[in-house]
Amino acid sequence: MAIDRKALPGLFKFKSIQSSISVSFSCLILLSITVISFISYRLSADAVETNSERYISEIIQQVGMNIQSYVTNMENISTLALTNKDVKYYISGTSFVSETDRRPYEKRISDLFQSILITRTDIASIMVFGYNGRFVSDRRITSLNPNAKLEDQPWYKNARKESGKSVISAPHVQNIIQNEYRWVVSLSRELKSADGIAGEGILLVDLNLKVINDICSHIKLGKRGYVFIVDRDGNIVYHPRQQLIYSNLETESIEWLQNKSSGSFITSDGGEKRIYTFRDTPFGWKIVGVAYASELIANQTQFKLSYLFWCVLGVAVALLLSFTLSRRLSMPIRQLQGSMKQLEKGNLDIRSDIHSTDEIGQLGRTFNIMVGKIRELMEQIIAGEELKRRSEMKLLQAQINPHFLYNTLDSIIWMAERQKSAEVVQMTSSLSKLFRAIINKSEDMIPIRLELEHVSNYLLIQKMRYKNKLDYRIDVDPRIWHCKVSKIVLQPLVENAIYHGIKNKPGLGEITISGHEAEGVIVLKVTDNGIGIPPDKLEQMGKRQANPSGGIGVPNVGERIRLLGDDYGVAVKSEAGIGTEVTLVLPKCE
Amino acid sequence: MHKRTLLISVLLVLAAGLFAVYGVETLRMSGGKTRQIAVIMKSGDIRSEFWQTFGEGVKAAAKRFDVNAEIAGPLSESDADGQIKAVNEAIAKKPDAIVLAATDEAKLKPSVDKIKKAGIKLVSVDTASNAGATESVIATDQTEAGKRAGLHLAGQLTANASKAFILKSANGAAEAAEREEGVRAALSGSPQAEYIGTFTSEGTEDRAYETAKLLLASHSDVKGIVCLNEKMTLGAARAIKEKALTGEIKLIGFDSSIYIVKLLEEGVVQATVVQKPFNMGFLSIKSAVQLLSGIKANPKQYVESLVITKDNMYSQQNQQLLFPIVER
Repeated sequence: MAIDRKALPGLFKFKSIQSSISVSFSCLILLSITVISFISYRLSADAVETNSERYISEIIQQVGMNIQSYVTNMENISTLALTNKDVKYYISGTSFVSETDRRPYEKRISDLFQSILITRTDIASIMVFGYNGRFVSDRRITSLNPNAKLEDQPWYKNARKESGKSVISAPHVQNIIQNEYRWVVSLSRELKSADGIAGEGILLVDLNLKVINDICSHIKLGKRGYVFIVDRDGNIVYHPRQQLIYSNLETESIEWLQNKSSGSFITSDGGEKRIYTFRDTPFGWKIVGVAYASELIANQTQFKLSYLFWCVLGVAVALLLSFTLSRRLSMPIRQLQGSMKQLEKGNLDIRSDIHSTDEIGQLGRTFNIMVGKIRELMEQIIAGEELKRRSEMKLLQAQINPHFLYNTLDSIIWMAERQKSAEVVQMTSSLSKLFRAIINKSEDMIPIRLELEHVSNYLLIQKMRYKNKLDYRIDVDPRIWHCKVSKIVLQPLVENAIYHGIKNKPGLGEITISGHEAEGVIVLKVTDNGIGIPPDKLEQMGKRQANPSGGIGVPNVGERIRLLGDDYGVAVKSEAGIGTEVTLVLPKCE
Repeated sequence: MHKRTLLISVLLVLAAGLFAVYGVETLRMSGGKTRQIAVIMKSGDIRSEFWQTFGEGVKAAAKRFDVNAEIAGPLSESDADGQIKAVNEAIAKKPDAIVLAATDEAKLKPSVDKIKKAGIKLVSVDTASNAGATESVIATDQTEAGKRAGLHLAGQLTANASKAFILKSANGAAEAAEREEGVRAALSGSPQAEYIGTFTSEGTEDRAYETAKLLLASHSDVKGIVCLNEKMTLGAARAIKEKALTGEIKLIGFDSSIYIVKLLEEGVVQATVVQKPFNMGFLSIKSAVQLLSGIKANPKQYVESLVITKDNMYSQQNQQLLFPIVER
């Protein structure tokens, strides 16, 4: 792995640019995607929650309106009864003379109530209780529960207290009728006398509780959501788990509802997050819908899942992108790095292949130029070193043959014995000049004039030694005398000509040194009329093979001249019995 | 080269994570199917108000905890064989848990073992002695109920050392024995009452009436009676009414029915001790859900009982106990 644990003191210390780019990109992308996803999830969830709240609110309103319609209906019935003349007359103070007088009234009222009841299945009973002790119900024969006191009934007491306003009771068991114990919601109202001040009786309309139960229990607010109702005082009127609340096995967040007519709140009391939405009804009940937040989003898991899926997908794509991008960015740098490594190893032929126009491309081009320069310099240094080494060696090799010195000294002794002092002087002087020229290492290049002087000194000595056997001629164009040549280029050739050409030749041998300028170069020729070189030996020389028999002269000189340039060199032309011509082609150095 | 491996491994990890999340979620969605709980009551008879109300509690809890509760039971509380059949049918459906109110503990023992063997969680209802065999028991504390009845009777008695006896039914032995124990404990602890004995009658109202009449004749100075079930109460009340001793003899009963309600209103029965079947039904499902969720449910949960008198019978809290709202 790219991340070395030990080399990770900081978070963003990586070995390569690519890693750092991709890791920081990834972190950035990861962070932003996570944040964005989270925020948008929250927003969507909030939106869903708000929608749900609105939806619940609508349902609650619907429930309220449904119940309201029943209550309104009861009110209407009460108004109908209230305005009925028979009822008024029946409960007014008027005392009927006899039972027979009373009967028709009772019958008429009962019929009226009955006809109402037939059309309304939700109404359990309608009754009128006069303060005068008379009562009429929707049944022909009604026997009241002797053990239930009318005055103790909450609906009776409350209606009396409210004097004329209708009162809605909480659901209760109606025990006023003998042998009938029905769950009802009662609407009761005091009937007024004609003057509208004195109360004359109480009208009771009982609504089957089943109606309200059905409305509330069939509301679907998710799987577990429910509806409950509280009255004005905060007492629970209806709750699906009323008994558990009474037994304190369950609690309901009622305290939140007080002093507010409608609204909603979210609570997590007792574990789960729930949304309470409530609304007042005109008759004083508060209808509350409770929905479990986890159920509001019907497919919440799918919702979450798809968010997660897109989030992960986004991260994956982004990571891929960051990797490719960082790779592309760092690729040329790594290429350049590779080229550098090659250069480090000494490969001067390396060239970077970056063709982009950006900074890295420029860097690559500069690198190429730099490598070129380095190579050039290296070549120059190598060439110079080579030249120096070789010329030194050649110069050493070109030292005067010891035999020549010995022979020359022998000749001087011999001449001195014969008292030829003038000749001794001349020879010794030539020898001395010759040596000075050889020994003088200060300059490699000397004017042709000086070189010719050396050669003529040498030739003078040899001529004195070989007397009648050797003659020479120097015929060099004076216009090139000042041109500089490597020193001691002619002497070895002359030596060769004497020892291999003329020495073994019967009769007089002649050596000619000629020179001229031709087409910008200097051509020097050493010609002899000696025995010549046999063709096989000439061929060997042509192949630049070293002459094993001490003949270092021509190859030595040739190599030194070739160091000056490829256009320069030595050519040997020879014919057995006629002679040899060695041509030097040299650069013209002023 | 290792860059590529790194990239591939990162992508692999991401893909693995994606699949893991997806898998877990789908598993959760499919594994989150609604739990099945079979409820086998002592009686599925719709006239049995106790068990119908119990069933209402079960339904309320099923909605509350989002489980599927299937309610079954034999036609009569004495039909042990019918209940065994119902248990077998329930086991065949492989529910997650069974709530069982055994009619006859001895006869139902093999069925209980079968449920255990099938690896189904078991919650017992209204059976006190079977606690060892089940993970959870929901019951009314009958001894406590008896004590309340006894204390209420003692409170009603005006004179000191008023004689009182207990009328007990021959069937429903375990429940009656506990109630009797409670009543006797309460009576012996109060100076107003003097316990003179427990008398057993056959289970019908008529037999109870006859027994009560005989007892009233032989013990004319009796001031209080505690009847350990509804039938005994009705029989004793009839005897009291016949002898015109209403109010003279304080009668405390158990359980409720429309007849008991009337007797309460009339003042023949001073009080009746009622259980809370709705709460029992609710708690039985709650316990089953807790067991299924791995929460250690309280091994024995008592549902309190309540003394209902003429004065509090129509209170908001109590009317639902006397007049259960049962969807029929």
